[in-house]
Amino acid sequence: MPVRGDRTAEVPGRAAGPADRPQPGGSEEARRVKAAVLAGQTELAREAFAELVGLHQRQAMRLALYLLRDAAEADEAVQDAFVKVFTHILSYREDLPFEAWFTRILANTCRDRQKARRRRERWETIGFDRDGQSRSAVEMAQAPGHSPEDALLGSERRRELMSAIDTLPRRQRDILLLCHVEGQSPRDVAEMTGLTESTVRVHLFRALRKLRSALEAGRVRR
Amino acid sequence: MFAAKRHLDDDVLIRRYLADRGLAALDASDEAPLRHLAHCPACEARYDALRDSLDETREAAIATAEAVCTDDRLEHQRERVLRRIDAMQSGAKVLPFPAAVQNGHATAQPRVLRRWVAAAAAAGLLVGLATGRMVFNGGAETTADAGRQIAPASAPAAGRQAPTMRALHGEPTLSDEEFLSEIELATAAPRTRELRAIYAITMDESRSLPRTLGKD
Repeated sequence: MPVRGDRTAEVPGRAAGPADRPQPGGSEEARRVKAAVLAGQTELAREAFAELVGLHQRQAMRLALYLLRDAAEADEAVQDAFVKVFTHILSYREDLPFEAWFTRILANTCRDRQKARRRRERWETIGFDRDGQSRSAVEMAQAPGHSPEDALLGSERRRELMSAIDTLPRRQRDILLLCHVEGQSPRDVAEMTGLTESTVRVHLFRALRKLRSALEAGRVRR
Repeated sequence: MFAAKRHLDDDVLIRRYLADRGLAALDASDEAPLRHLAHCPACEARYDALRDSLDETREAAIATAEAVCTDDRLEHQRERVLRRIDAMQSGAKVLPFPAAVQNGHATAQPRVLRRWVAAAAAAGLLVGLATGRMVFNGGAETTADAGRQIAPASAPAAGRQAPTMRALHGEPTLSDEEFLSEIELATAAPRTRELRAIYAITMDESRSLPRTLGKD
């Protein structure tokens, strides 16, 4: 756990807390793709790139879903981001982690799509089913479950939790999903969103506080 | 400092949670509350409840997203990405842009067509000129002949009609001398109503008529 100042070094109850998500890395594969492209070995480049895509696409899809909240759009954004990666692989700096570079490309792609969607929404007065309204994350997917009953209960509970997330302002919600859910560091999220790191931390803190209140209120209602 | 009777508020618990997740840094001011947390079962229970609810939310969000990211969807997505890259590498088919069509091979046909149109227009012009020349030359000769036949007969009568514009323009074969004498005749004619007043002032009828007639 990062702690500022020596005096807190002995604070009890502190746990080592790296972001608990799998780190796909991918820098090695990216280097292979770049080397193959430089050498003109098309087949090898394609093979290495397929590996790279397989390594990152699940997390990329989740990130895009959090930002765009529409499965079809997220799918397209991830595809676009991967194609951009391949197109610009020669500008990839090998001394930096591939994941950070790729995430930035993906976030920019999602942001462009968000802007385009907002532009579209200005001209649309009806038919908001797909894009106009920010759908609940639960509505993006069918809830998986072992039995119909489990599925129903699980789905219901998830709906409540995701409804609590949906009560947050857009920016807080995005930052909460990226940091709290996806485990991205505030610094990475700051780069993705164009905010400062301290702003991201403030938004994250406020988002958690508001989420806590929403969850409490939901529990009281039950 | 933090007595057991004064419990921690939610903000401190959230800061602790974020620090545990590696998402925030604690500072020196958090030391005392966290010491309290370690020794206060009530606050610890609240912290556990907070952590569980936030973790549950996180898991719910991940599960929801994962439900979208099915293996089929991801496989399909990977195939499409690779197909797009294959298309890029194999040199995608370039469709001619409408503006390029005008400069490309589609311009050959209009050029040929344009030449035919120009040739037809030139031929039409030549035929028109030739026809016009034939028609107007024939007409002019007949007019001139008629003029010559009429003039001697009418001149001695001293009451000649003024030549019309058509007659003037239709006689290209007249010499300059004849043309000038025609004008003189016209101005000297006493029946030319428009010129009669000028004639009365400037010209002597008896002197001018014989000279004009003598030239004819």
